Amino acid sequence: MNKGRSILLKTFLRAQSAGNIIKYEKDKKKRKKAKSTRIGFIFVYLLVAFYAFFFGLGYGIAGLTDYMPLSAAITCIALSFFMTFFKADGYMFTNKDYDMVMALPISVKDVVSARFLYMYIWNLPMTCVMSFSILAGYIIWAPFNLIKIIIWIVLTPLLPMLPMVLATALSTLFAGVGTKFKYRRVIQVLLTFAFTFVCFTSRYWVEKFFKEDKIDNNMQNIGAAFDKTGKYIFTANWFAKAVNGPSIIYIVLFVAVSIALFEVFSYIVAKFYRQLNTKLTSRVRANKYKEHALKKNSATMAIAYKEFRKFLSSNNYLVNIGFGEVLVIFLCVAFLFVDAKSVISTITSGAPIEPKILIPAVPMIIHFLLGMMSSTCCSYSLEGKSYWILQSCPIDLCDVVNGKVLFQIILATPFAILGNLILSIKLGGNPIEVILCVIVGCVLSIYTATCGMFSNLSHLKLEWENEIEVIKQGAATVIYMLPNMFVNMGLVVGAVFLAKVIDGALVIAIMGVVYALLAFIFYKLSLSKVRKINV
Amino acid sequence: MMSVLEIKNFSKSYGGGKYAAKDVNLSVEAGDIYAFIGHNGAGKSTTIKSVVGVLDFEEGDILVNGHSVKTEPMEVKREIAYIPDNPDLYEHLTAIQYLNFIADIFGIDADVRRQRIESYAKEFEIEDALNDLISSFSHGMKQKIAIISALIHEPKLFILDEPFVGLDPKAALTLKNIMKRMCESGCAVFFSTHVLDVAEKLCNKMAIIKGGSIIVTGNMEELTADKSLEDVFMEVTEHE
Repeated sequence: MNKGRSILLKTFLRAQSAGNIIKYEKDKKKRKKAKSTRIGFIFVYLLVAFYAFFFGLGYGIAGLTDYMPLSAAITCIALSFFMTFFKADGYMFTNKDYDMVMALPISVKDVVSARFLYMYIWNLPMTCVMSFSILAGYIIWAPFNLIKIIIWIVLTPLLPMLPMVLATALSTLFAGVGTKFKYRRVIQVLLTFAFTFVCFTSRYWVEKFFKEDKIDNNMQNIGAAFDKTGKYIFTANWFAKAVNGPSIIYIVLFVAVSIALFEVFSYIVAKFYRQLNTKLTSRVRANKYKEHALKKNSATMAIAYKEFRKFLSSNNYLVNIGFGEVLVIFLCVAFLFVDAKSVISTITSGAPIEPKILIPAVPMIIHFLLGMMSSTCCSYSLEGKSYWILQSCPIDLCDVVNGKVLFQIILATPFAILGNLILSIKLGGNPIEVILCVIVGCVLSIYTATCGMFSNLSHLKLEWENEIEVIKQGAATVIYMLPNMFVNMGLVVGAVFLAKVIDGALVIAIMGVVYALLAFIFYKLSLSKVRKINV
Repeated sequence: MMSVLEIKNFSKSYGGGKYAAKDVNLSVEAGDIYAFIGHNGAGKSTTIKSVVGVLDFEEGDILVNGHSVKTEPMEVKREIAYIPDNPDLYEHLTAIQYLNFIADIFGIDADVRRQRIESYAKEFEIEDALNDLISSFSHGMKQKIAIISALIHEPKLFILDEPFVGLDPKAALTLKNIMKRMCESGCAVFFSTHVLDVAEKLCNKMAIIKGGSIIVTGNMEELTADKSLEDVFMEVTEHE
């Protein structure tokens, strides 16, 4: 690695590491917070490891050990791609340190590659935890072969390289296209969501237009499904062939192509980097101010409205927080225009699921999408250096919490109502079930808002260089998101099975009561936390 | 004699047909302390950021010791030091870690960097704070770190955007003395400011920019003559 790039990368990493705070911070509370953030991340990684290990174990039990390297590679690649796609823009462009870094005698290519590598290194622990946990399952079930294990371990760190390069290139392209228009942010967000839509529905369109055989869900055909996927994700295929062979040719191919594409990417983006940053950071002054009628609002409403403006003014905030809402729209459109059985079949790879049995799980399905991320996970931290404005205002900080929670509820509830209504009706729910789904959907929106706020206040980070640090990779966000997702997935399955024992409507009602209680507890905890904040 | 900084027919538009800087021409010689004065939004920062290679521009050219910012950006950046109006330093680095980072980038030898950091830290009275996290510093302290980091490679051209904001009187005096010393040793200083008194006392040349165009440029003594800089500034900006 050349000198400029390595110095920059080392500094980026050091500037963001909790290690420096633990070592040099004089404030005990801040040191303690940095330590608890580390513990939080370890907890999340353990959770992912647990999930991935059992995922691997399942493949072993099914006798699909040969497909485990491919399965691990595809999982890591898909995860890296989507995790990068929604944050690459924030990492690569409009950084606070842009002026300082660009004025230094470092080549633009080194700046670009250091920024990319910084993002890549942040992504590595998740990839390694995921891959090595599946490897643990592989070691248990496959005949012992040390060479294969070593190849697996050595090649794993390179798995995210290609998907991250592609995701960052796409994100850069969308940013570039956006700058050609007056409303560049709108164009950028639309392109991002349109691409997401294509990704999530690609399987449906391939089957519809190319009349490809549907993939059955039985164990014999899972291997065929992986072979088919591996055809498209060629680095996953090379990884699998390198491990299964073991094959030197595929090892060299995998390593060489990953590194070469990264270098080519850095070279190309460097050509446009300054131009793109200039356009992204420039503001053309709007036309002269026209007087509008100014309305008086309560402090809580004023905070909620401020949050709404912030939401609209930041691509990273909008795309990451609004992603669940957009997915709900996709799902609703699918259920409205395609019959329920086909939609379920497409989502579950053709699993023979009777639509009606999913009714008790409808609120959790919608919550899985809407509750995946909450603006409250990061909205308090996003105040950053402007926090003094709120602190110096004559308002109770509880009003700030209320305002931010209110914004999240206003944002998510209409989608929760819409999603629950359409899904429960289309799945054949009776009127009571439909009403209960809608009510519980609203309760879950409140839970999302309060749980996110509690997570944020527990891991508050007001000192950040780049907003993506708190929106996407902040401890509050990760600690809220991953456990919630896993619990949610479990509850979807749990609700379906519980409905076989007791009435489906009762299952929905019980979930509603439990989540209402949790929402109340998290709200009270948030109010008590905010009173103790001392920045 | 070759100018340390030469801005030739420089224009910068952010789109929408509006120019942030229009046909700017100026020249800074070795030994000059050059003030760049203008209202908020006049085009000072746009011009400065283009000089240091942060902003991309299409029209005109900017030369530093004969090197073009467009075609030889690395040569230019090795010869200059830049302090933005609001320096965003890495908050979770200690001051010494940050200064070391900048010294690494410029490839300064360990002994030389130690000696320079010690000397400037003493001058700005921050020796005891070098091992503290930047996040714990006040705005003025951060500004002092930014100034030391800019001086660490002994630049030929020192470019500062509103350098006196946030500095205490003692630190402001230290900075002025450093500027004078640099000019005496054949370097040049180019800075934007709203503090007209400082510009008048410190600078030998100045340019006033309004609406993206230079409206006055020349020697401070000749331009002010029997008036104060404030009078000259108000007069030319009101009439233009």
